Amino acid sequence: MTIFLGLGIAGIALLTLSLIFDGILEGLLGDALGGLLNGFFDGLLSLPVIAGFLSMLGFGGAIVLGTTGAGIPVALAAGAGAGLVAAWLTWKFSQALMRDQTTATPRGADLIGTSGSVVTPIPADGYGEVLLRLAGQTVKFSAKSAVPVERGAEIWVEAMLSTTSVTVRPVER
Amino acid sequence: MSPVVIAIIGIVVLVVLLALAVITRYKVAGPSQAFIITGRRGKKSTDPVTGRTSIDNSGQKVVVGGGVFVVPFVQQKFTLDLSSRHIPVAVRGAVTLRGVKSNLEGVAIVKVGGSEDAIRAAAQRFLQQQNGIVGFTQEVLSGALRAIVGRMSVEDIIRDRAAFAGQVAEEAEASLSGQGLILDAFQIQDITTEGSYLEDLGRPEAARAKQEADIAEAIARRASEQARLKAAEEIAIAERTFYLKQAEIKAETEAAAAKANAAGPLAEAARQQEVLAEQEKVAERQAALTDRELDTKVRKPADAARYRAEQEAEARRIAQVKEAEADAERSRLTGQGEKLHRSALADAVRIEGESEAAAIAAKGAAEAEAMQKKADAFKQYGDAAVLQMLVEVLPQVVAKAAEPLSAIDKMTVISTDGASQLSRTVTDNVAQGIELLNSTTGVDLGALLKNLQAKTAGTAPSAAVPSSSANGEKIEIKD
Repeated sequence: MTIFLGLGIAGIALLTLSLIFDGILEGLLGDALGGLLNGFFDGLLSLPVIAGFLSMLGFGGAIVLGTTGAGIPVALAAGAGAGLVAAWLTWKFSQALMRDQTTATPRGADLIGTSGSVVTPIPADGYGEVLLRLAGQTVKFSAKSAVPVERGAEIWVEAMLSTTSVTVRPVER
Repeated sequence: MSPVVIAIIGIVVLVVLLALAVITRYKVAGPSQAFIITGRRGKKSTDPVTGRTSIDNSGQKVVVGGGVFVVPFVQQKFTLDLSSRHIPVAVRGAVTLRGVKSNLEGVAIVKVGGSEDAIRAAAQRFLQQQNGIVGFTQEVLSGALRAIVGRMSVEDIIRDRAAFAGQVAEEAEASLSGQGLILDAFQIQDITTEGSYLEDLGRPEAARAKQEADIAEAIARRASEQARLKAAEEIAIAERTFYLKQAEIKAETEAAAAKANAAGPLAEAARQQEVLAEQEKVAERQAALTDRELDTKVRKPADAARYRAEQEAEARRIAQVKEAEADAERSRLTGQGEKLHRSALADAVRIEGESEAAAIAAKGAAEAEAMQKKADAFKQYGDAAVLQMLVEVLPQVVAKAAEPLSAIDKMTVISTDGASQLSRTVTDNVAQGIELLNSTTGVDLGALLKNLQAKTAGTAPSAAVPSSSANGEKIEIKD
């Protein structure tokens, strides 16, 4: 009984420490476990998972032992099962958050093929300014064109020259 | 407390802590933040042509406006601020295309680009020195601005925004895009030139504007003045009309009032006139009546009386005439008698007179003769006779002279001369009487006496006087 409760409390203490000293324990553990944390397991043996397993094993065993009056092996088995469930849930939760990618960060290359309008006339050999929509946000880019384009004309982005400039051509409808 | 209860509480605490432990590792980026998560290994890829394998940088994640699970210790999260930076840019003494030295002050709005490429580039350059972005950009843009000014004229910088923006974009491309920075805006705030180039640039236009403004002002003033005068003229005309109308109305009302005021007296006068006319008629009638009354009462009786008087007078006259005739006849008859009577009387008187005259003549002749004889006698006697007469007269003269004194009842003499003066007064009176005689009659009694004295001196000088005194005849003063 005392061993079970001790395991549970030890798990909670471990979690508390990991919250307070974010990353330090994991670093130590990671060093000890080597590359296991990366790659194949990919966070499977992270500290919350281990602490959750331990704590749940202890508390689950204590509850089974206190309520049913069954022997320690039964209690240990039940606690281990509960611990596994808790560990698995924690791992899945972490995985779900890790996978939950928000909208992709826009890239310059995404602009190619989009259309926009000219805010500063584009001369024959020089830069004008165009207004483009990049991932839902309106961004002003410097723009070059093979032919002069008047202000207000609709253009189509042909290529990215740099992170802030594009090559455009007027849209003919 | 039973171990079961402790265990249950422990489980609850465990669940909460597990949730916290997982959630705290999930980071959410703000709208102007970019997270760069490093630490994971990139994906391995193999070039199908060359067969070389390479690992991309997908392990280095860039998150903008989203959330990311940061695995403790393995991964590291960095934050890049994407917000704008306000960067003042100033260039002094920049030479423009036409060689005019100018000072420019501008402002640039610069931010880290929002795309993944720009964030990666900027993160590599500025992540640990994000405050350095301003200084870096300022220096780069100052140079760029100087270059831009060198390619443009002052007028173009001021007027041609598109050309300026194009130049700026070109310069920014070269200097800023590699840094992952975006030049959102670049504006010239102030431009000044050394000397008075800009002022001179605007002077012709300013002069023209001033001229036009003056002309417009003058025209406007003229128009307003004309309008004002016209309005004043109209007001004056309207006032004149008003006053005329007022006077007209006043005259009419006054005439009406006068007429109204006169109506009473006029009516009264008319009434009085009628009364007078009636009274006149009455008077006429009365006069006629009186006339007739007079006729009947006075005139006709008077006529009758006159007639009677005339008749009476005529009768009396005739009677008188008859009487006169009778009288005349009688007179004539008596006259003849009278005449006879008178002539008889006259004759008597004549005869009386004649007798009287004869008597007088006889008397006169007798007197004349006596006088002659007297004269002769005087002639014989000479002055002695005269003296004789004088002596006879003188006592009377002296008596007359002393007459005033005779009237004195009582006389008191108060004089130093005493009572002798009184007798002297009497003699003076006599002398004065002689003198009076002399002057009035021309008879000089003195001379007469002297003459007589002289005549007698030869013969019998002072015979007469002494004789008189010798005769003892004294002149007495009689009472």
